[in-house]
Formats: sequence, C-alpha cells, structure tokens
Amino acid sequence: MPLPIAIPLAISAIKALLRFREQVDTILSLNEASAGLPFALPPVPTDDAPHLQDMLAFFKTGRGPMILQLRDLQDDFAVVAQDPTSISPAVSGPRSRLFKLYYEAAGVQPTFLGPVDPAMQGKAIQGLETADMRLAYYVVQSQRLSHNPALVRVLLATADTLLEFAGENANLFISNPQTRSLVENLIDEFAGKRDFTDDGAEEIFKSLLGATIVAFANNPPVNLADKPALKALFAALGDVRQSLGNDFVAKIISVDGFEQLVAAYATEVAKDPSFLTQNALAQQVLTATLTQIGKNFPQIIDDPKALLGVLEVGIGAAAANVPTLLQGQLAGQPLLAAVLAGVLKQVSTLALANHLFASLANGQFLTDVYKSTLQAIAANPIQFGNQNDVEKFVSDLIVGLANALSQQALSQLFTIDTLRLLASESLTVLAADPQFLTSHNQFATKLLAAVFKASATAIADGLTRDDLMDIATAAIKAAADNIALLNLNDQLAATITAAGDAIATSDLLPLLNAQRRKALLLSVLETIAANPTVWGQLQDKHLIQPLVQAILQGLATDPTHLLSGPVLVDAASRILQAAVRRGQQCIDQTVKSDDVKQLLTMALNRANQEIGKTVDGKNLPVFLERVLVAFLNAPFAVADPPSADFKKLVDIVLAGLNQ
Amino acid sequence: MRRASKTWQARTRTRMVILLVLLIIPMLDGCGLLAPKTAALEKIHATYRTDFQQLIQLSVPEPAESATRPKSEAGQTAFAETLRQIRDYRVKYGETSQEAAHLKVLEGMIYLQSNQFGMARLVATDVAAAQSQLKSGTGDYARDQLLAMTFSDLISGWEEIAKFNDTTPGHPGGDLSKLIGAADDIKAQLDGLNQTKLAKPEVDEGAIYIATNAAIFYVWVYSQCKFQGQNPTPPCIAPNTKQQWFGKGRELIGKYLSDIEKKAAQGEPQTNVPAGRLRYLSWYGFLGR
Repeated sequence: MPLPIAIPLAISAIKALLRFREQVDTILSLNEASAGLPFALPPVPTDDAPHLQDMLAFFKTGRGPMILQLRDLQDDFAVVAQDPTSISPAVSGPRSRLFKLYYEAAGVQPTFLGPVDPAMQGKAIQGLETADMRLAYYVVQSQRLSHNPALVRVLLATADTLLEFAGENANLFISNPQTRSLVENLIDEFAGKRDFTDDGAEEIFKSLLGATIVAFANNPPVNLADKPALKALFAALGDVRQSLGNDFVAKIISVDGFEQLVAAYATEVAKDPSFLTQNALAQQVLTATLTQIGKNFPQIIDDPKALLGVLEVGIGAAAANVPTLLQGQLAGQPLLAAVLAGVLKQVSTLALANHLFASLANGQFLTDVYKSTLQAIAANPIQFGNQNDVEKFVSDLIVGLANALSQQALSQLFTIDTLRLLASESLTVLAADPQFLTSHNQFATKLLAAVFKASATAIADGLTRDDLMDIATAAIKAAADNIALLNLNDQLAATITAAGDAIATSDLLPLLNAQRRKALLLSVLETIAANPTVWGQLQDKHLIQPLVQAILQGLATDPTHLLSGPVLVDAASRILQAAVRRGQQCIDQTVKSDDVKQLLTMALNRANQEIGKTVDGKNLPVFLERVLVAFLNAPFAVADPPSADFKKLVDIVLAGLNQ
Repeated sequence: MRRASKTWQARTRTRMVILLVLLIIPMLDGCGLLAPKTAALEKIHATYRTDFQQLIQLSVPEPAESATRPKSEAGQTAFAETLRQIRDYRVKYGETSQEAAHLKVLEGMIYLQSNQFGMARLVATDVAAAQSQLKSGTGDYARDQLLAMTFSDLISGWEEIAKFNDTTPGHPGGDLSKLIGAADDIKAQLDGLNQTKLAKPEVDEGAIYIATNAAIFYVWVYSQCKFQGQNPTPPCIAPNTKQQWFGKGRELIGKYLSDIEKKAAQGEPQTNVPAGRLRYLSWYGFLGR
C-alpha cells in the first residue's frame, strides 16, 4: 500500500517528533494522570442491632459456647454480655466479631446498611447445612488458620487419635456410651481440669488415648456401661504431669504394653464397680505411687515389666482390698506408695550386696515381691504399723529367697533365666498363703531353701522347675496348715534336707526316675506333716538321715524285683509313716536304723518266697508296713538268719494279708 | 499574494506535521522512546487496575477470619507491583512533577484501600502538600486535588471502620467520635469549595467519591448508635434515628449528582448514566429509603 502522504511531509513529521517529543510526552502524561481510576469505597456495615438478643442467646446455650471457644472469642462475649448495647470501642469491637460469627454459625443472613452487590455479600460456606457440619468446619478451619486454642487442639488430637487407632471404628468408639465416657474422662482430666497449652500435653494425651483405644477395642469390660472406668488413672497421670513434668509421664505411657495396664485397670474396676466410688482415693494412691517412682526410682521406667507390673499389682491389690490397701496410710502417705518405696529400697540395697540377687532382681521379680508384700499386709495389716515393719518384712523375704536361690546346686543346675522364674514362682507360692507369709516369712524362705536343696540331685536327673515348685508348694502348704510343723522351726528345713540327702545317696536311685523321687519327697513331706513332733525329735538326735537311709537301703535289697516305680514310692511312704508313727522306739534307740534296714531286708526275702502264694506287687508295700509296725510294737533282736520271733511275726502278717 | 500564499502554505504544512505527530504518538502507545513518561504512567495505571481487581476479590467477605488486610497469594501486600512501579517512576523522572504529585496521591489511596493505615499516615503530609501541584489547567478542582485535601479525614474514617472488622479477639472497635469527626470534616471541606470550580456532576470523579465516603462513615455511626435505641449516649444523639444519619450522607452525595442521576437513583429508568457512577446512585437511593 503506497504511503498516503508525500515523503517530504513524512520527513517533516519525523523531525517534529524528534524535536517536540518531550513536550508532547508531558502533555500526554498529564492527560494520563487525570485518567479515570477506580477507588474502593469503605465496607458496608451489617444491621446488627435487631439481632442482638438472638446473638446473645445463641452463644449462651447449645453449641454456642463451644463455637466461641473454637474462635477464642469467649472473652469478647463476656465483655459484650456485660453491656451489650454500649458504643464504646471496648464493646463494639468484640460485638462486631460476635455478630460475624453468629451470622455464619446460625446460618443467619444479615441485612446490609447500604447497597451491596449480591456477589459481595460474603461467600456462603458451601455444603454446611447442619449445625454439626458447621461445628466440624470451625474446628478444622480454626486449626488451618493457626487459631489453636486448647479446645481446638484437644478436639483435633482426639479425632486424629481415634482415626489412627480405631480406623473405621472411630465413630463406633466415640458413640458407644462406655468408650465415649473414657474419652470424656480423658479430655476432662487433661484439658478440663488442667492446662493443655504445651505441646507435651498433646502428645501425652494422644498416647494415652491411643493406649485406651487399643485396650478397649477388643475386650471392653461388659458391666461398666458409661462409668468413668479410667478416671483415677487418667487423673493420676495428669497430676504427675503437673508435678514431675511431661517427659516423665510420656516415658510411662510409651513403655511397651502400657495399654495392658489400662486394660488391667479397667478389668479391676469392672470386677468391682463399687471401686468407682473410690476414684478420688485411687487417684491419690496412683499419683503418690508414680511420684515415688519418679522422684526416687526413675530407673524403673527403663524396665517396662517392673513399671507396669508394680502399677498393675498395686491397682489389683487395692481393688481387692479397699479398706486396707487403698485407704491405708503409712507415715502420712498412701500405703501402696509407701510399700512400693520400701520394696524398691530393699531390693536395691540387696542387689548392691549380692551379685546373684542383682542379676535375678528384674522387673518381674520386683513386681512379685511387691505383690507378695501387699498380700501379706492385706492379710495382716496390724503387723505393718510403720515403714520399718514393711521394710523388715521385705528385707527378710528377699534375703531368705536370695539365700535359697544362691545354693550352689541350684545356681549350677539352672540358668539365670530359670532362677529368675524360680524366684518369681517362689514368691507366688509364698503369696498363696499370705497369712502364713506375714508371720513366718523367714521360716518360709528357709523351707524353700530346704526344698531346693533336697531336690538338687533330682534336678540334676531331670526334675523340672515345675516339679520343684510343686514340692515347694506342698512344703509351704503343709507348713501353713500345721502349727506343729511351724514349731519345728529350723528343724523342719533340716529334716527335709536330711531326707533329701538320704534319697539322693540311696541305692534305690536306679529304680526311681526324677518323677518318682519327686513323689518320694512329697511323701516325706506328707509324713512329716502327719507327725511333726516325732520328726523333730528324730532330727534333734540326727536320726532322720540314718533312718530314711536305712529304710531306703533295706528296700534296695529287694530280691522280688517288685519294688520299683510307684510301688517303691508307696512302700517307702508307708514304711516311713509307720516308722515315725512309732518313732519313740527310734528316738529311745530301742530300735536302731540298722535294725530297720535288716528287718526290711529279711521281710523282702520272705516276701520273695511268698510270691505266687500270698504276696504280689500290689500288697507288698502293705506287707512291709505291717511287718515294721508289728516289729516296732514289740521289738526283738534282729538277726540273720531270721529268728523265731521274726518268722512268727511274718507268718501273722502274711495270714492277715489274705483276710 | 504569492508570498502570502507561500506563507499560508507553510503554516498549513506545519499544522499538518504537528497534527500528524499528535496522531502518531498515541498510536505508538507504549513506545518508551518517544513518550516514556506517558508509557510509564500508563503502565502504572494498568497495573493499578489489575491490583485493584484483586483487592476487590480479596475484600469479598470470607466466612469468618478473612477481614484482615488483603494479601496476594504470594503473601505480598496488595498493590505491591503498582507500588514498585511508582518507585521506579520516581527514580527515573523525579518527584517534583505534577505527574509525581498524582502518583503520591495514588500511593496514599493504595495504602488507604488496603488498610495500611500506618503507611497512609506516613505519606499523608506529602499527599496534602501535593495539592498545590494538582490544580487543573482550567482552575477547576481536580480529582487528585480533592483527594489530597481530604486524605487525612479519609484515613481517620477508614481506620475506625477497619477496627469494627478487626478479627483479633479482644481488640477494640472503632471510635464513633472520630468517625463522626472525619465525616463532618469532609462535609465542611466539600461545602467550603468554590462550587463553580467543581467538575460537572456527570464527570466528577473526586467530590462524589469523597462525599460517598463521608456518607458511609455516617452509616457506620448509625449501625452502632442503633444499639442504644431512643436513649443514646454521646456521641450518638437523640433522636438517634436512621433518618438522622442517613439524611446527612444523602444530602452530601446529592450535591454531586445531576438531576438525571437523582431520578435514576429513585428508580426512574435512565440510559445515559455512566457505569462508574452507578454505585454513587445506589448509595443515594439507599439512603433515601
């Protein structure tokens, strides 16, 4: 397209452009400076006054107070509520904020005092039709906007933890009256009654709730309904958090198996719902116990079994013995805490002095000692009037037990792990009869030591730990049931030891496996229990071992070969009983051990001749018992070859066998 | 004659050249070499309009918690880019020109609209001082001149209103005395103007805007005084009616509306009302109901 003007004219224009460009620029820029520009008007107020009473009522009832909390406007509300119509800035500012929240939360569309484009009237919150949805929205929104008052953090922490631990069952958990009450208690204890402002509190809260969910998800106690099952436990942890700090409580909660403690506590409460009425007391006791641990024995936290064990034992014992253990006081502090302190102190002391004990005294052992002690106190509270009584009891108990377990035979035969179990089980055996343990804990541990010693060779031949505990249980039970046995005092242990040694050194061992020897030892115990006085007198004269040895050696000569296994045990048992029943002859030395041995040898020879006629394996033990009884009734000189007296005696017995 | 003819021809030619230049330069819009100040100013205005749109969107009331100062998505203060370009302009072209005075007012208005009242107060003295440079060539009041004249009262009013919208718990609301004072001051200053030197209502972009601001200040006062009903305490005053406060604002706005616009504000259909003035008509109409 050709240029529409002459070239010279164009050149002139270009020259003018170059010459006048600045002036023209100024003219044009001034023109541009006055160009129309948009300016915003101030925002339009809403007509709030007509809604004043409704707004105040909304925030006073129902979800209103919670919404205020979520927005941290509770103080603003308090200011406005005092003088709602004031125009002072101190009131009008809070009031304006409250109205904005009210319109949104109550779904009220305010009137604007001015022309407002509908698009400018505020974005409705899409999809929040119900009050509950709005509430949920506020919680999440508040957190998103970093407005995190304690309430918001508690709500979110709870929801987070429920989702994390209960997953799809979170709703079920919070809807079920029983589990809901747990959450209510926890929130009340951690955010209602106490400060929830630090991060540590939130972590502890979540851990505790998580453990509770795990504990209750599978096996909720059935009879607690919506009772505050864990209130005391939660409250105590809250107390301890305040006094000893978050770290300590966080450690407690994070130990492996903490949820088992939660479950155990709930189980105890479920067993006896009246325990709930003692919540305040239980809280005090648990607080004192945890405080005691935190202040004096913090190392226990590194051993979850010990920590949880003592707590669980304490809770269980307290629930079972409310008047004595839960309500009990010792030196001005809850009895449970005082006892635990005593146990921890004594165990620590002994562990320093006794290397073997130090390696045995693990968490389980500590728990068992604590349990045994509590049971002893519950059985006989009068004997534990002060802290010294408790500590002496614990000291005697653990020293005795340490001695029992320190025997060379045991420590060589069993590994440390087995010895630990043995220690633990021993305490369980002892605690089975707390009344006995309370008064005779030293005796009881000596008895245990004797049983262990007497069983040593059998252990070497295969007697198991369980067998050993069976014997120990029998010994303790026998002693506990028999005052005469108790009167034997140290003699009983010596007696059992002597009998055990006799069994161990007899020629019968090839005929008796470990189980038969266990039966034999139990039989000895039974015999002792049946006639403790005579056994005591025999022991006084050191006649037990010779007598038992004589009996066993006599039986060992058996030419009939009928005495083995249960028949041999039966025979030995009968003969022992018979010998002791008429033990005066032995005590007076009218009859000597060798006489018994010789008599039994001859009786067995005669029995051998009678096999197929009058004697068999079944009645052989009875035959021998009767021979011995008849002999002890009217002793005569025992000689080989058999005397006429012997033959006459045996004939009478044989005649009696078939009747 | 020939000479005269040549002279005429020469004059005609010069005129043509000048006309050509004036025609060409606008066509070279944005040509920074030929009209750099104009290009820079146009760019600032364009950016301002963009930022303003963003401000308006951010100012739409959010469901709760949003009435804080508008921010861009990047967290920068609103109008950040406009302000940066204004600073560049000053570095390049100085601060003494009439255009620079215009930009000073624009900067102040930016701070005002984006609730940066501390910054607004910081530039308030300079804005007021810019008045003398902002007179129009005809001697009529220019928009920027009127804005500069009332700027400190605008700040006062906006700042008190912003306090009512402060979402921070515990913070006080606006002071009604200050709000009334700002509105009354504006009214007095507008009343004190030589009315013959005001732009015609149809084209006025200054006085009508300022008057509407003052009217809205009165509305805010009413919104609070209304809580006190018939027994108001100062600065609310009896009879404490809507008419009492709305009437002041309506009268003020009405001074800067044409008769046609007032009829339009009453709902009579009018076709020749510029779109930019509709909001003033809306306020005038609303305050008369």
